[in-house]
Amino acid sequence: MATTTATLSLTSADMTSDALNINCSTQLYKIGTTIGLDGTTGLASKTTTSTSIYTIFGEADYSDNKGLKFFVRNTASPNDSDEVAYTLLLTLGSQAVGYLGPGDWLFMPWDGTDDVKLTPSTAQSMKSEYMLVYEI
Amino acid sequence: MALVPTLTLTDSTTFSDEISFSVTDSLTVTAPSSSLSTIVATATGSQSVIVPASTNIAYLFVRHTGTTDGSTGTTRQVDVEFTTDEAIARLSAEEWLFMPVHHAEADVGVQLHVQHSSPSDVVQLEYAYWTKG
Repeated sequence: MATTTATLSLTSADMTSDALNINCSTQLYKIGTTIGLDGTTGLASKTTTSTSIYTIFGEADYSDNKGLKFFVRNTASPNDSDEVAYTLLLTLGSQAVGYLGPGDWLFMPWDGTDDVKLTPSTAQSMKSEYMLVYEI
Repeated sequence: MALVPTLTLTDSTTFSDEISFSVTDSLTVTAPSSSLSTIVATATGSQSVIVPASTNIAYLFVRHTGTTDGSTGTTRQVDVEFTTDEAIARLSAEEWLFMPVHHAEADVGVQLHVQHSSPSDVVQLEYAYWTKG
């Protein structure tokens, strides 16, 4: 059965006396099975010019407690401005859980019980990218 | 000090349009931090605090090993949650997450909580975190 593979590498040569080199890879399966996830939103993007919160994945559109994994990236460059904070606050329902600085991204499972939302820190133009791979 | 995370997502057969992309970043990080560690989580979240209470942003990696002790398999799910018990994500066997964790409102940490009430149900996980500089 076809599957989506997610691979993470974490490296650092100068954080501690022991150089960091973490690598892990996982197949994205339906919960409790070895059957690959069969739905995807594709990689989407949204450009905003306000600080209004917006939903990127609505809980009503997906089953609860299934195999759902999402990726979000703040496409701003760390060099875009030294004076404007181009950040995104990640919220599940009403609970803030993450903070994406310029260029930052995340990849995590989602239980599908609360909307996934982003709040830009500035009304300057900024763009997010996001993608969900899910269980139909 | 720089932490370089790279994510690659690939799938050439499930969908009509192939998934194949890779993103990387260079993160400035500082202490406190914890390099890759292992922990055996239980049904009591407060016994498995992996990021101490702080208002800082922490880059967090957590991986469910699919075992109770490195060799005995388990499929028990594990919640990654704030120390105030608010859920962040639920990991099944072999799954992992990498994210910049931030509560935004309180001085809290992150803990692990096995989704079962029996004290004998435990899960071994790997984790690491670095404070955003």
